[in-house]
Amino acid sequence: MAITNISLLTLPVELIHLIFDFCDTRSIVLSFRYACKQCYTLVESYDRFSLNFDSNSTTDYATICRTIQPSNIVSINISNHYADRNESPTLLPLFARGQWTRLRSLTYHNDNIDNLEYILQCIKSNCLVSLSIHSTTYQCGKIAALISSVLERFNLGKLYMNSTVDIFRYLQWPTSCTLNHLEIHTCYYSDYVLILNQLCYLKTFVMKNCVMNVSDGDAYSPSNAKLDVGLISLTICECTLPRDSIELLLCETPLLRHFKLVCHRTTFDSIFDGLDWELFIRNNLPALEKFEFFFSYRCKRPDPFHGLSSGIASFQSRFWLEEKHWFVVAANPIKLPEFWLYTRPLSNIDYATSQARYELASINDGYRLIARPIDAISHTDLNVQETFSQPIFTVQTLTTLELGYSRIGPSGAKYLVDALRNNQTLTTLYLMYNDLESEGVKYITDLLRNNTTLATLGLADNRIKNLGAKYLADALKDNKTLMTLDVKRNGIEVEGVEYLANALKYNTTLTTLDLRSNGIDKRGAKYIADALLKNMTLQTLYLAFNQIGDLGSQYMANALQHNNVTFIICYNSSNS
Amino acid sequence: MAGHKIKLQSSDGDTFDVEVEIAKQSATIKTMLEDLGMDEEEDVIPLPNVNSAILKKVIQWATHHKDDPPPPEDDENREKNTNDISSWDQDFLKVDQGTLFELILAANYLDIKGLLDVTCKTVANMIKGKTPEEIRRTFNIKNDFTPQEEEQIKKENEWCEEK
Repeated sequence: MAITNISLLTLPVELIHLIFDFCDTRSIVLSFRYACKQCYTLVESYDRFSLNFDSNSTTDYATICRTIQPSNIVSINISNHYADRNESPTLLPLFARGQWTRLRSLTYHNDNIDNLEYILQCIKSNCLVSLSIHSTTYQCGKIAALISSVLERFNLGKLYMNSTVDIFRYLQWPTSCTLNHLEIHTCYYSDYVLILNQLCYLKTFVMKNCVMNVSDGDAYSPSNAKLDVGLISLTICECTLPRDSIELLLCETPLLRHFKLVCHRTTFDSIFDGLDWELFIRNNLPALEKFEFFFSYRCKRPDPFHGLSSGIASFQSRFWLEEKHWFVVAANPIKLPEFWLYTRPLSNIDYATSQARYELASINDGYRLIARPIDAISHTDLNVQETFSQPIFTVQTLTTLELGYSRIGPSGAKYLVDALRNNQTLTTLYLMYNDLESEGVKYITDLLRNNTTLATLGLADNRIKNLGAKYLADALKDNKTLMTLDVKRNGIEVEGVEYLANALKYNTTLTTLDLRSNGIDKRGAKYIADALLKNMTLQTLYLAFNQIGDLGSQYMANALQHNNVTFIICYNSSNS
Repeated sequence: MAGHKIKLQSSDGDTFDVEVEIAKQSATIKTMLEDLGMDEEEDVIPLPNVNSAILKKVIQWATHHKDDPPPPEDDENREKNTNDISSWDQDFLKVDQGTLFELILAANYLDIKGLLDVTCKTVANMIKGKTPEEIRRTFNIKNDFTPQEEEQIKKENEWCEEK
């Protein structure tokens, strides 16, 4: 690859400023600025600073605040801890300096509303577009008055407040309110209808819960003016309303495109019924493109189990799978007496969703045991022995085990393999990031010898080293089912690759092998190249992020000439 | 529609066949296609600002990310978190600094927001939490402040700390 002489400081200013957007202010002002004269100039011309007052290091803030012009600050976040110290030597004087011409976003975590009022008074120009107030105070009237005046003075687009329902008794929405994003804690149904009809620019509405405060007789019919309601996204994070009330809310929003609903139930009501949703959405929400939900049902008695396949059945209609492409998963968390029903994908759910669970998806791809959170990849501690001894767990029907990032370790691997010994359905086993090491791999290879269904094995990031590679290689020689093996980032190195390459000479089923980032040098490449002269089944081989070098590449190129199979070799060879 | 391909030509004259849907992650190419109303497979889109090695990387990235949801449009809600780089992207960006900066330039020129964000985040992570000296070493920057100026800077800080 051609050597380029592009360096950081040769990038255009606007790109370096774009990089600053992702840095913390401290690193920019107190470090980068002092690296050289050009760096100093680059920081001086930057005008999108975000200040985060969150630590005890007041001296840092003193320097930073002295250095940056208020007119170059676009975002400020004041944490509770910081604002609590009323003697705060920098915060209020900083605002008193004025020139707040470009501050767009202010987040305030504190109960001292007087300070917030002072801060807001210091912002003279009409620049603020986003305000978040996290306060536990009961001074609803005061906060409401403050927000009313803010809405009059600024063309606020986004407002977050975690206050109670009472605030709406005092809050006057201005006649032409520009808010398009509103996040609140709880609101009454009557306030909900009022907000939808008064805030004509509102597009996104997020609330924790809604409370029905109208009695059965009167205003339960949908309002008439709803055609003016332009809301396109509604989120209810902890909804306790019964289903018919939820439908009432949704009747107010005919243009809704995104709806997210989280409910935790103690009765198995019609909210779990896909057919009911289908009928309602067809008739009332024709524009709905994205429906995200997470419903949990806590069984009162310890045992009653809602079958996953019956729970998912009503979400397998043409409407769900083919028209809307909304895919739903039914799950039993292994340690909780609960039934879960949720859409996939799903974002930001504030619930214990990292529980190991037994899943069945509406796109029927078999039962899986899965131990990563629903909404993100993060680490969990999974006790394999305990998990597999739970009565709910029926290993016989399992097709996929996804237990990445679970700190299983070698002893966990032993239990896992014992539990799976008689299984003849498992096709996929993902165990990335589990500290298995060579000992754990040794147990896994027992599985490879006995099992006749496993086709995919993911062992990335397990520090299996050359010894682990040897165990795998021994098993691969006889195995007739495994098609994909992922052992990237495992420190296999040249010795381990020699074992694997030898196994490839005998193996006739493996089609994909991922050896990325394993410290393989040109000698390792030679072993693989030699094996490829014999092996005619491998189709895809990943070798990027190794130290194969030019000579190693040449070995591989030569091997490819003698091989009829299609190879995709990813070279991103970094020889640095 | 699916599988329909276009040709992209790098600054060194190599052409690459790329599926339209993959190429359209570049707002620049998307606009070109729409403005020109191109649908002939023979047409070649010249990209004089991107060399073959970088274009190859960019195509590799776009191919992997072809099913990603489009990034949010409003900058107000842009994710400032730099710890959310996927392990695939981390692997992909384990390259020398020259290549990394060329990728930033290419992502900017081709207007591929996702790639621009992830490359800028990677550089931001190289800056965050470092001392001035560590930053100089990381990016091979020469300290060109005179001793007097250094003294001045030091004073500036001390003065603040006393306050």
